[in-house]
Amino acid sequence: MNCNKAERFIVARVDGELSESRSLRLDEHLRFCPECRRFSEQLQTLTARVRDVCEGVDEVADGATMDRIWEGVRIEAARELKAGEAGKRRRSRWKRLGRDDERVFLGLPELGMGVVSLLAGLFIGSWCFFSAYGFPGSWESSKKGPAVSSQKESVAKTRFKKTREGRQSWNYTGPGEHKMKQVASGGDGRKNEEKSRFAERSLVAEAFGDEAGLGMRLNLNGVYCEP
Amino acid sequence: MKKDDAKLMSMVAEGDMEALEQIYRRHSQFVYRVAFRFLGNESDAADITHALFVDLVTRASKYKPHANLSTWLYRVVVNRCINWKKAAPQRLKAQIEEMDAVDATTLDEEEQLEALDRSRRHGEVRKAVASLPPRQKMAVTLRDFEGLSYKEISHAMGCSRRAVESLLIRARRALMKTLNSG
Repeated sequence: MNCNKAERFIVARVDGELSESRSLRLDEHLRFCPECRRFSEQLQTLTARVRDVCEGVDEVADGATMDRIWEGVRIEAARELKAGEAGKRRRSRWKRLGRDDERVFLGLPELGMGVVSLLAGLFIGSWCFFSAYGFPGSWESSKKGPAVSSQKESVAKTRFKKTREGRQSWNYTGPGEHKMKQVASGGDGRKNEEKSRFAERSLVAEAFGDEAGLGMRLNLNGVYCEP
Repeated sequence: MKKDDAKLMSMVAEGDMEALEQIYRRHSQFVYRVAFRFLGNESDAADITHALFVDLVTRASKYKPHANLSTWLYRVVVNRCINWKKAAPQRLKAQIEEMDAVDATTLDEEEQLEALDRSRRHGEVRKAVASLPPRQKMAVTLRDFEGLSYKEISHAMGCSRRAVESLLIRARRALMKTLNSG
């Protein structure tokens, strides 16, 4: 037997966990090993000292203390039981929902909840869809939309074009063409230039309305003019 | 007639408070004692005992009758104690001193000296045990204070018998070193 094994046996013997045969083998070792013999003696002293400490500790757990703890346990345990039973009722209701004989009677609240959830889901889903692709009302306006955009396009088509006299004039092929013709058929060059500038602004105002922010307003003839 | 623990536990699982009280009266002493010896103060031991028996209500349905209830409770209290918040060193020191405080007013001079000497020796041992790592401390508590066998300790601590032996050897070597040096 080596000293490591002897150490295990010494501890086991002090704790009353060593068999008779092993105890004899340990005694054999201790007879020739002063180191282990000293350890055995020290361990016995130590164990007696430690076990002596616990005497009197039992008095701490007296009846009054245990009763006081029980009062707290009783109150809280009753609360736990109440909460647990409420949870059990909820769970068993879901379980019973699966049984054919009780499905309709017991399932009504759950079915109601299901229908409400479904409707809520449909509402949220359709809201998301329409906010992404536009609401039905705005489909009508989008049909009118191209008229506005074609107006914008026609304005975009407006280009300066040099006339034979060297004056700048509008070559406009859109709703306001008649005004361009009026401008183009004007008197001297300077006046015509002012008129063409005015015509340009009025056309833009007509095309975009207030969006253009040009400060133009419609006169009684339905033509945009300076305020 | 005394009902066995398994029967009482099944009654607790069904919400029987009287069954819980019977279990409490039967087992609360050792739960409190282990907690008190391990943690070294009444307040924490009471907290652990309280929490353990309240939890018993919710865990009763999970209890398997083939396991001895006291072993099961030992295991729960051991885990709770090992994981319990560590007491500040000063607080622990004060508690240890308080535990060994002697009311010497009613004793004669010789008895007073003896009581003080015993108190000092106990204080030293308690401090030495308190300074051990938690698992070693628990092994010493269960073996030397509670008198559990190696097999019971291994069940309570959830380890092998050999591991219990190792914990005890290391704990005692550390205690010898601390107490002999002090």
